[in-house]
Amino acid sequence: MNIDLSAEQEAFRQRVREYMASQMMTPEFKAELAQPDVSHGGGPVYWQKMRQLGADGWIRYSWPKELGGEGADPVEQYLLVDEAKRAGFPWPALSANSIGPVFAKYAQPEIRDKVVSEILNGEAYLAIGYSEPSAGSDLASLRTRAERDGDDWVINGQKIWTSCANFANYIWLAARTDPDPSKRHKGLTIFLVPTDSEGYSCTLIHTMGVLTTTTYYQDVRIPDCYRVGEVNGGWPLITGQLNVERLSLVGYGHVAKLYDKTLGLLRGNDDYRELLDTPWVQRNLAVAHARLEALKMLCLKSAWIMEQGGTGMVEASATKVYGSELYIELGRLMAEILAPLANLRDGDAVLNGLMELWYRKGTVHTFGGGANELQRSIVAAAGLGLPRGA
Amino acid sequence: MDFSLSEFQQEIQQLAKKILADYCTQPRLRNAEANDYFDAELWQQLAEAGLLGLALPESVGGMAQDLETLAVVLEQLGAHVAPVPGISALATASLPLLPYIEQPAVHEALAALSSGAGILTCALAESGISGNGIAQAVVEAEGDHYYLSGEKSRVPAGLQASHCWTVAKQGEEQGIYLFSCDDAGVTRRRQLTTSGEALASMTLDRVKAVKIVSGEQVAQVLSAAAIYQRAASAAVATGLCEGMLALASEHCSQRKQFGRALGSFQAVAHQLADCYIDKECLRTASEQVSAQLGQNSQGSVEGASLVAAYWTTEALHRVSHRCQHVHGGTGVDRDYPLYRYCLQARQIEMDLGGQSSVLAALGEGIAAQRVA
Repeated sequence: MNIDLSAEQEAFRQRVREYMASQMMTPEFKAELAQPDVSHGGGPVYWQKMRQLGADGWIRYSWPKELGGEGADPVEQYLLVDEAKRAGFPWPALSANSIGPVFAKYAQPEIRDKVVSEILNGEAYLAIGYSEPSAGSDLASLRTRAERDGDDWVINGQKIWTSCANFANYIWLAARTDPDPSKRHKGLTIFLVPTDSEGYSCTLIHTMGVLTTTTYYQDVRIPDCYRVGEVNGGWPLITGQLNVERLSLVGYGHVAKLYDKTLGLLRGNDDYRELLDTPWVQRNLAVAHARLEALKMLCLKSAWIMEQGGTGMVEASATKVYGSELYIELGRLMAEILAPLANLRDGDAVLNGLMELWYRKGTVHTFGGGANELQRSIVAAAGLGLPRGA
Repeated sequence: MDFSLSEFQQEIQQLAKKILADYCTQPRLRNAEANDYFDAELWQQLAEAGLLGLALPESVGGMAQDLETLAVVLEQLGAHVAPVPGISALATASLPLLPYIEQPAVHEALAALSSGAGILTCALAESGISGNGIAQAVVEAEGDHYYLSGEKSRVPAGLQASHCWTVAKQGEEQGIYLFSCDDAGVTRRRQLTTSGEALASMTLDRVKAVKIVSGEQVAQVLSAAAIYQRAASAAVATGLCEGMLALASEHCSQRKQFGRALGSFQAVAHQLADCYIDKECLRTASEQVSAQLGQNSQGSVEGASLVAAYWTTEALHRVSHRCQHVHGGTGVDRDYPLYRYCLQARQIEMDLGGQSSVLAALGEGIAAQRVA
């Protein structure tokens, strides 16, 4: 057994860390990301950085070889996304790493090369259009319809929580192509909808912490070449890439950031020295440390299992539950240490407001990327062999 | 990075499983419960298979393996609730003495442990809650000989042990002393614990002893003992959690209520999913401290051992309670095997000092920057 990264993996991580610090997270970009409406991306500096990221080969590097990438293995993919997020860079994980490779594999030749090259060059973002007002965890019940009309498809419906659609170039859309409601997941098809299509529109949803959108499809007409995969064959495309994605949602470095920054503040500043010597503060730090160590090992182990050719399904679901709940718990453990200061947003905010923002942003992790109830059911059925529920 | 077991470790695992499956049957475990939860025949089998000397040097008949390989066996002891003193004899009492193996008395005690001819233990507690480093037992020196007098308490395998080391003071100087439990000056009394395992209190009356170390090195030996205890406890606890979860999963797959298997109710299934997550967190913490003790990894061993102790206490408490709960009355019935796991879980949890003391030590280490 060897629980450490190999020398090559460690060097890779350092390389990503240095690149993110020196090339991506420039003061200019940080300033742009501090503005709420472009905090997830979409501003002018964002697109400039994305194109540089593409030109420097990072997105291509993270793709499998058979799809035109350079074949990063699951461990490297995990390290890349985790380091980027830790640095605060809005790495396009969903677009470039979850959806992109599935698109490249199943898209029709007429549009594949163009869109793949846009993704790899950092020129296009693909937002995910799955959830609807009446279909959240139960995706198989979604209602947005696509009807065949000659060589075209005509799409009508509404999607919600379509994050990043406000600056996306395409929506990766799941729509019902078999109107028989009993067909459920067997009646769904995936389409790539260009956001400049006529009849498409998008409005912002301002949440407690993050920005997201509602997208509307009113007689949106797209040629059949924008259909991805078989008609009524959308379900495997939706569920295929979820394991790597789940891991990237709760990567260790990204979650540990709050602990690292808080500990750095306490150790590095005489004003806070007294807190560090206080028993209950030490207890909060100890709980955080012990629980983060487990997250670090769960993440690496899951990535290692995938690298060895395993699906990592149970491990990824368990890690997602654990990591997302730790994210919330950590926000409390660390905020307690600085208590009233943890509520300040700007000006006097500690850690540039990280502690304050953590709470407002954190809640989404337990239901985003597959609600934790679904993950626990996966662990119970596939990890423990319990009978599936009704 | 490689989380798989080596070929040799897999062989050791299979060997341990085979012996333990043969000896940890329900009738034998019931019999062990009536006898201080110690199975002398099983202990001999483990010795003959070489498993008691697994982490000891070849010079004392051992296999010179690292803690990671020992952990493979310890996990199996937990998975079978084996009635043997695995944590104390194979880790806490023996491994801190390895630096002193050139001393004939240490060599003899470790060789006896390895061959099964004897059992080595350590007496770290005195009366009340007093523990490490505040021994009141005294030593008198006469020529080259030392004689120990005092009261020791809660000595693991204290009724069966052949050799024991302890802390005592000569004047103001603390030292680690090794003695034979068969010495006429040793009086042992049974201290029955929650799991049925007997510890022993010992009255030492001018017991002839050998000095291993004294002065500043005493703290190092005691610190090593604490670290090995935490690491070994995490490995045994991983096995206990696997065992409890296997029983609970089986029960909830078979047992029907309201016309459905219990495990098909989300409220039940999700509790067991949480047990699975706790168990996996414990396993990673166990692997981490074993790897660091085997020097296959960087990082603070003290920190990793405290993280392992945190997860041991956390997982044992949470997993054992929830596994009992989903069993209903069956889980507490003495004709069903689960309760033994739960009692051992409680035993190990409190033997480590409990979670709050573990967190206090870890937090202090973080503040003092001994832990990253």
